[in-house]
Amino acid sequence: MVVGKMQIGLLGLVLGLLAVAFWLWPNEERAIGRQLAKIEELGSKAATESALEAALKARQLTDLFTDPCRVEVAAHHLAGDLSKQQIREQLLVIRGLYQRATVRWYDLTIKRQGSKAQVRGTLRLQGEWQDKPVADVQEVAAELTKIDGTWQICAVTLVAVLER
Amino acid sequence: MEATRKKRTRLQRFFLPELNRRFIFRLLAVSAVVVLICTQVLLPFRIQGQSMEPTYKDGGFLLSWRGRYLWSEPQRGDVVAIRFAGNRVVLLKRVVALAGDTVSFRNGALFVNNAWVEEPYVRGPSDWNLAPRLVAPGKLYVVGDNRSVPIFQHDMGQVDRDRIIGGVLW
Repeated sequence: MVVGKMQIGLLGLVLGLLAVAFWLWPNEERAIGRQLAKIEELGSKAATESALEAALKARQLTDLFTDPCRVEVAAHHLAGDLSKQQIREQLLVIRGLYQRATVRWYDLTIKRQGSKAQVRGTLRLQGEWQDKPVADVQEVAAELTKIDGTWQICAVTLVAVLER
Repeated sequence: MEATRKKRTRLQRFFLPELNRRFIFRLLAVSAVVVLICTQVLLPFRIQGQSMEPTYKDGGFLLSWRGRYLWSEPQRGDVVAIRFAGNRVVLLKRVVALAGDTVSFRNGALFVNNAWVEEPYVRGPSDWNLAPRLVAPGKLYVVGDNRSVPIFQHDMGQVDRDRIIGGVLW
């Protein structure tokens, strides 16, 4: 009976280790997920953030994009190619508007084919602007490409959910 | 010492069940049913934002009934849940016009097909003006109940019927 319990324990341990190994095993989808998680981390802003920190975060965020990157805002029928410099300037302006901000992804789906990937998700921003709480939700569709072993965003579309 | 064991009442067995195989099976079955209901049938949401005030207040809680439009179509006046990329974040809005309708606002009053629509759920002053627009096929026109905010700050407009994931239970 004792041997039986030990066997069950060992089996559970092996299954647990296999599950952990499967979870931690590196794959491309996970690498893409990590890149997108940087948008959450670097896009969020604490109330105490300094100008230097803001500039550094904007620069790190810019590194997630290719040069140039196709940007489309479907609701306003705007589309164009932005250079890294333009993206950085836009990010600095947008982040500067908020006193604090939290950026989160929801419902992310990643479809990869070779060195290209299509990503779709809901991006939610909650923050404070002019001492008032603000929130914005956007459905985002992005295309990523693998350059020198790093996944970078080469096209991004803000999907129009509501059209006036 | 079977003889000394006290006979447990029905109430005791319900609130203090014995941790046996049968109980664990029942616990797993109930958990599975709850997860299934909360992810596929009645989606629980916490309201964040003031666009549906005063009907639904910021910080409130509601359940979205996914079966609401399985066999019927949304009607004018219905409050619907609108999905983005998935079901975890949704917009809560009121349907004010259907496909083929013309919708406009004049000094805060809603007009559908050139007829004024009484909206008892709207409180507070509104100065909204919006030129008439035709609702495209396969779409609905949705607006929040809080018309006190400037119109440019309010998320409203035509939405694909496919994005409506359900109605609000209460």
